[in-house]
Amino acid sequence: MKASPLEVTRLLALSLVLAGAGVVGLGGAALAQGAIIPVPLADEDGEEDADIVARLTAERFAAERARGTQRDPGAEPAQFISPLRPLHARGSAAGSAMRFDGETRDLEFMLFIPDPDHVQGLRIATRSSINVLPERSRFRVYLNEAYVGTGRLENVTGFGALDLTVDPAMLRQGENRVRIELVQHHRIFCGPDASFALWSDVDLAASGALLDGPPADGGEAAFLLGVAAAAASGGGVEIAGIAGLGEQAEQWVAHVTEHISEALGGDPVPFRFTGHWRVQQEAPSAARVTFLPAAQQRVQFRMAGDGAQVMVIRFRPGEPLQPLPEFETRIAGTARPSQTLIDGQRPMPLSALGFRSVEVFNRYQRIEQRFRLPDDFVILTNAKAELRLDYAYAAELPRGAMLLVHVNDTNVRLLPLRGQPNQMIEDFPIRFEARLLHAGTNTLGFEAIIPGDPPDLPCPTWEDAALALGAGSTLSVPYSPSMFLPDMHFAFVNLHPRSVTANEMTARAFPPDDIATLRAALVSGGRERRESLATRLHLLSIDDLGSVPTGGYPFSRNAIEAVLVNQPAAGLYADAGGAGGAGGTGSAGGSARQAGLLDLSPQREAETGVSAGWAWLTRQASIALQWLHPRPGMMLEHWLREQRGQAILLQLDTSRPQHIWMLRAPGSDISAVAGAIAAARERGDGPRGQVSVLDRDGQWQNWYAPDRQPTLLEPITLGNMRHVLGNFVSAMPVRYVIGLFFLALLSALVALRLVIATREH
Amino acid sequence: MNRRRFLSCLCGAPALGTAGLAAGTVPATGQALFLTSDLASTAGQVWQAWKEGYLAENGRVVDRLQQHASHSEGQGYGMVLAVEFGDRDAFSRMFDWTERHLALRSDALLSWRYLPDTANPVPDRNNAADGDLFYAWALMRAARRFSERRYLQRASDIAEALAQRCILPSPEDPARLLFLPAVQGFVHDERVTVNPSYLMPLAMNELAAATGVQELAQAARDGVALMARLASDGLVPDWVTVTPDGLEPAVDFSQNAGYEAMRVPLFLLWSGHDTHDAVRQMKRVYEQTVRPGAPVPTVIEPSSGVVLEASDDPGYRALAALLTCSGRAGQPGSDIPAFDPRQPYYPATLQMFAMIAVNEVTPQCIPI
Repeated sequence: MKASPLEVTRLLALSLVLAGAGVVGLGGAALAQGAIIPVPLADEDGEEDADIVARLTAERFAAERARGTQRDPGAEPAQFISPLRPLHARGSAAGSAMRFDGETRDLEFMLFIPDPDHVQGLRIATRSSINVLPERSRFRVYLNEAYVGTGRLENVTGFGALDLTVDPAMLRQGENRVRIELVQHHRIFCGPDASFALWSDVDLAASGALLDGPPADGGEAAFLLGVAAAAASGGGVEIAGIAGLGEQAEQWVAHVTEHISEALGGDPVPFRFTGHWRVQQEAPSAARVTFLPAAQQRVQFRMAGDGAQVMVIRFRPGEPLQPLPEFETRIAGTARPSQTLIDGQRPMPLSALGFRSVEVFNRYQRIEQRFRLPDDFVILTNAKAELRLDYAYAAELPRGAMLLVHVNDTNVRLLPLRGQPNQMIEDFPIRFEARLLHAGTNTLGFEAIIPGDPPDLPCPTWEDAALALGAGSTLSVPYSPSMFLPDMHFAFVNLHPRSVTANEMTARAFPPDDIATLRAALVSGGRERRESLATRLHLLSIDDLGSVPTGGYPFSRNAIEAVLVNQPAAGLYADAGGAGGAGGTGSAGGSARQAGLLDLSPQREAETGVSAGWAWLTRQASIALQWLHPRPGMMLEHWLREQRGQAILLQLDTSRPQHIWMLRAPGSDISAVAGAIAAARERGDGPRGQVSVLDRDGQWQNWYAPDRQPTLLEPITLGNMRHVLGNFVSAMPVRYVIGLFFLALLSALVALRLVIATREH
Repeated sequence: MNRRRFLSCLCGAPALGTAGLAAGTVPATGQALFLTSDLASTAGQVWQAWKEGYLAENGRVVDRLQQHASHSEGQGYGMVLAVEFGDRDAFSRMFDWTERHLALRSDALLSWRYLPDTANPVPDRNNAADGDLFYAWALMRAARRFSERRYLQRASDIAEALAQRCILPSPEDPARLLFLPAVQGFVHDERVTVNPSYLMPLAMNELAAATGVQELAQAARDGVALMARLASDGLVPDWVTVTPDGLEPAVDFSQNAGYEAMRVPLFLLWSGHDTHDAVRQMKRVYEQTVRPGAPVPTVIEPSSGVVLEASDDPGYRALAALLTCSGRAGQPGSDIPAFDPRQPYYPATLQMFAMIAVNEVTPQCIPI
């Protein structure tokens, strides 16, 4: 392995010769390139050549001086941003910018300040659509409701930051509120279409309070700052050291993650588990929860060497979770408003639902008001609800100006804004089908559309409002008997962190980090006292699809895979129509899919002769029957074919209304899924019906079983009989028709018998 | 003599198990609640990142900051790490490359540097005693962990060569031994210039016990005592000259406590000397100078503590965090940052050593 002395001598001689040749022959090329010229070596066992040794030793010391990335020793810590934290869930993935669209928007944020004396200003980083006219588009910033400053929306090629001066007296230690108002004008056009083209993004990670350095001893406020930064960057909050917690790990993690999520509200905070020994990710960690064993349980807030704000929880090994007053009282949750419940048939002022009078200055504006109906509210008949609207509009609005009224995204009225300008129109009656309302959260929407005049020039500034809606408007909802219509909404809004259920196959689709993030997402946004309901969210891998109770709605695994796996919609089912009568001429896969589509039975064996004819006959009969009376399972399959999503929620078994089964797309971002869940729970909308797909745009697409039946939850009385029968009949009119038919037939038979009997006499 | 030492090392091998802490045992110096662990399982991703950052496929440890050179020090360091993480493949690659490219001397020692892409990649055949020491230590530990006797033989040869050529009596007190930085260049008349950071007491003691080369153990003992004298009124400098009249600043050498001397407290702590004055002095400086978000001192004037150079490489912050945490009562957990393979080789490798030191000696200093 090692060279002998003789070999070494030969090699040295050769290298010297070659080097000498190089120096002579190449005209000092080596020198020019800065290469080190081999020098005669001292005899290792003989006398040292003092000069050579000195030179080589100096070279050695020079090398030792370059052993790190040098910085100015007196350098002050770099400025540090305490980022903005949206107050309300947006339903988008962690780490993304916040988008303001339309002509005016107003959004609120939390801002955590460990020490107001270290705040150097407020930075807002924006990027706008090219359509935004910078000269007239701006944003105003308010801190704890005090005006801070105004900036122009002028960054179209990338994010640009504006630093605003902040008086420290405006700040509070701990949580502060920031409000940003945006006004955007189109640079060319005016009108609703122009309004849709307006947007500006606020980079949350780069916007917030400018601190003179990272907060070293900021306590819980610094920790919350770190959590906000972890959410803004998308990096998430790390949890380290759970291995030492043993069997108590799940309980500890649940307690900590839920409390942090409750304290911050808004979009869910992603969590991820790490060891103590970590590798630096692209973005440094901003916040961490670290568990360390100790003789006494306690909580400390510290800053780690990588700049992460750390909550160190010292636990007593082997002991169950004890209250952590330092954690639970110092990081307190924020009360969130919930939707107002409408109970009773009296007219309800919209102000009682939380609606405030609105003045519209935009060419397009959508105003929504959510309210809640009792969970046992079911109206399937043609009973009418009524909105009595107070509104007024300005004179000389362009032709085509209108106000659309929506109930749960269904338009119920179009009000042209002409004829009675500049006067309050009170109690304008708008009657609509009460069956558009459903149990739980409902949305009343107003959509103002005012064309540009002219549409091909920037809008002039309006000094006065174009439209006003009064909070004195009332909503009347008709009586509903106490009934229940199967819908996953009830389970969904009552989910809580302990609802999340995993089995031995869950880990194939949901790693522990993701389960912790999902659990934390279920902390807020739901109903009060939901823990008392035994709701369950079963997390499944696609391999475990067989454990989903299908009720009366069987579906194929292919259909679910097509939703969750990114494949072209036509790919899986391209041959579904043509191969139907071909008697097995399609591929094996195609036959299987065909089976799934038509009769949901396993793939049939090869069909020949009489059996083929019989099979063809039964298949045609099946198609005809499906045409006459569509079967829900097949309708579900067809619906699933149209969907592509990040996750899917299922509740097909009506006998288990408190259970929801969830699958996710491979590689989907759990923060986006958790964010959509949290946003849906906060707003009260989202998954409904029997199957709900979270699509790639973060919207929930719902499928309602057409044959779902209401269940009566109260005794039938003379008072409710008409309503109850109405609901039952409306739910399944075919049965009503068949019943009436047989009743008529029976009556006819009786009448016939009566006639015959009378003739005998 | 070789046979005697070889036999003694075989006898001593089982006893070596007590030199380090076995996984799952409660360390004597740590708090009872914190246990050492098998880093291969608890820090495997860190080792993977180190390999991806600094180890070439052919087994060469690359120092990008220094013309992509490789040093016997780096090869030795890398092989110690490979043994720690039980990575036999990486160890073999480093060993093979080192034997092919740096084992060029007539003795068992290694040439100190390899310069790639040059006509003569090893222009200086002189050795670096710390590189040889770590190389031999890694081989000795590998012989035990991988049950490969040839590694022990090679370690034994190096230990003997070090004893013969790099350990000599102190001009100040011939009863004490000095560990020379290299075979050539550091002895002039009766003046011997030494680098305290080249001493790694744990390595020297383990190697002495395994090979029977007791001069290493004595040099370690004397070196620790020398460092205590140097630390009595300040930081241990990078270089110092020992004369018959005592200690003197090393003329023409760095007299600061810089990139060299920063290893002194690390190696002392790793060797169990956590209350040594050199550790205490450096800890004091770090406590006074290290601030969150600000660079960490790397070159310090030894007596005044004035910071001359600083860096924000995580490895240097890890050293500061380790020292600040060690011996601190009532607050377990250290500020050692996450390992970042984008930093240069040297701080990255020191950070790996800090991790091992925490695991073996001060497990209560696990990063928060």
